[in-house]
Amino acid sequence: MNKPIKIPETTRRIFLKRSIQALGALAATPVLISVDAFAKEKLTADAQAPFNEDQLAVFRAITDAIIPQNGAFSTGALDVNLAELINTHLTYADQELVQGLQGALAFVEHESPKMIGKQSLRFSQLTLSERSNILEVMATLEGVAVQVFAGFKTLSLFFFYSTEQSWSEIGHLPPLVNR
Amino acid sequence: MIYEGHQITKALNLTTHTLVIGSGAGGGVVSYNLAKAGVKTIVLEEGGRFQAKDMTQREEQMYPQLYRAGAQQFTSDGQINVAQGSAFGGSTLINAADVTPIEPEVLKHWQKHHSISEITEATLAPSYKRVRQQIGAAKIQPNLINNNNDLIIDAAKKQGLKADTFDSNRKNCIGSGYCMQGCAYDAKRGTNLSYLPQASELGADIYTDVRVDRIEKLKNGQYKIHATVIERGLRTAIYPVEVIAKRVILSAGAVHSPAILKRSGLDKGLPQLGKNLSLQPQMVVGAQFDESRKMNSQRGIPQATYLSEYDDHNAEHGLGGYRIEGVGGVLSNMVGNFPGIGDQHKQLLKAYTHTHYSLLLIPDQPSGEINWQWKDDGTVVPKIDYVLTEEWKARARDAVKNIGQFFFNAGAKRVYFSNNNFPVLESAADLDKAQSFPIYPGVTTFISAHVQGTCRMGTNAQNSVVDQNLKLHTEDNIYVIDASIMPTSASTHTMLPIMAMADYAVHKMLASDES
Repeated sequence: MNKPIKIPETTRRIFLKRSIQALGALAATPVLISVDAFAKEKLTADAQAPFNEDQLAVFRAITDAIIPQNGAFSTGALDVNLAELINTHLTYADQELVQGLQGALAFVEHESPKMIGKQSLRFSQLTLSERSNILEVMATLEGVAVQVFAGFKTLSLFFFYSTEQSWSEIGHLPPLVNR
Repeated sequence: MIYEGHQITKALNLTTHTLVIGSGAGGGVVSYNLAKAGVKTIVLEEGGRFQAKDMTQREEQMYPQLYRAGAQQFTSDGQINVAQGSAFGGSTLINAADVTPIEPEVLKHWQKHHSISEITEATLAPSYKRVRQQIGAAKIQPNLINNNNDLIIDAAKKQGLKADTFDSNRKNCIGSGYCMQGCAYDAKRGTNLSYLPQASELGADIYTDVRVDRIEKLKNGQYKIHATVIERGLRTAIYPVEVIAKRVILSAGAVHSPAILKRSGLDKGLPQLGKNLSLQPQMVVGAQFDESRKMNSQRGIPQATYLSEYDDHNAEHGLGGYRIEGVGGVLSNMVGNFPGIGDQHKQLLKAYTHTHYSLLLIPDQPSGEINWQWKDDGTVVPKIDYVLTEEWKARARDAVKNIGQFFFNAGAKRVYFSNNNFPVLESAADLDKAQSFPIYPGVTTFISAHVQGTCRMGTNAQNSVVDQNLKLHTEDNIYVIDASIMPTSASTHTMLPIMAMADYAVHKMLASDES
């Protein structure tokens, strides 16, 4: 990551405050609000994916830790540009959910390194092993930490396994119809 | 006629005898029978009309279009994903097509504890017969049962446990396995195919993409229904719709029927409105076998068999115990809370082809309620408040142990549950860990596909919302006919119970009209 995320403390607090309810849904959400072609066509002109480059860098670091390259099978989140793919889907997401996710990204980037004694660093600066370690710690906690963890994990896995690259790795068959 | 929202180009002012809100298991059956009897009927459905040609068999494309809130409807603590269809045909468009009646013990429970004397197996029998015929209900054909589902039957037989195959409402099914994303072959006989087209041919007018906002009672005793044509997808308002009706039937499901009544100010005198919510939470179980034992969970009928050994239904508590039912064809949707991340997760999915997947269904007692939240624009939207009881959690832990044992006895090498903080069980020796199976928001997500009870049927306005004719206690011409009216969980699947109750109620209604 080239530039630090410049989110003032008060802004982060507001994000997190606003996020609590959205995170409840986020923690469990299997799929984002999307729209059908009819509505999407009308919106494309002025709709923008919500995460900026800095936020995408954090998101990439998270998805990479959840589904790393190699191991039991080679394809990982970075191979399918998972963070970018989800960001595209988020274009049409409910604003409350987007704010929840942005707050959650800030939480992971700035707060979570403390969980492994890395107060002075940001999540996206850590090694894959350190990032994985943090997420595994978050899974054992209660409250916001585990909800943020579960939210990103569910979101990442849902969209990862909607890609054809993942299907060929695990033996999942493609649709029978071609539409 | 069937009018889709995009075909409506101006504000509408309509008049009818009976307005039906919703086109699912309740609304579909009711509208057909009313139209057949010559009653002028309009149906308003908030979701869009999707046909076989629209189904892409891709989860990330179909869930947002066919499910309520794009499949993002959750309890307020985020712990339970409340899945409801929101399209022409309602949940019958996207369900697993399992056909089960109201459990006999549940009917006894309703009689004993809720004084429901008129709803019995005998009084419902003609309705079951009519409904089963209309939807083509029959035992699932053996050739459509995949290895994933067959394992339940085979393992139960070897272990001396009770298991069986479902009845379902399919015709000419090819076993593609995408039932929960809408059938691309018109094989699943939901109301979108079995009732609504015929209702339309018999004279009912069905409008899709029209959301009902509120019901206004007029001085002449009729009702004015305020509705809105909405844009498909984002569901933003386009045109207003007003309908004058002598009778209103709410079939919008157990979340939105009470919400419409609340928004309309019709909650007065009904203290039970929105209360007594049952969700029947479920979670995914994975059982990994030797690589040579292919499961083929993706093809064939996804949910064809069930293990009923641990059912505990009786007249004291109604539905109880727990069961497993096969599941497949929902890869993206089921993996989110599998144990672990990184390579641990990848190892589980690498074994996808030889892993059996089931849903562990644990019936609940009514312990939740629909509350209301006011949005910035002044509208009232439902909020699903639900807390898992300690009794339910204890039963869930018991289920984790016994179902884990079932799979290890069947030869599984590893067993795991949808839980971020519970390890993969490597052998039967690990089953004692079930006692510490963690259940709290974030650590696991349950799925509810059987929302019931928020306009409970009963004998008076203090203990219920509708009477045994499914009419509001407080209004002469407003009925609720959907899953809301169940006093407690009716069955392990709700389509046939709702359809049978709808058929029963509409025939009584028509008989009353004649008299």
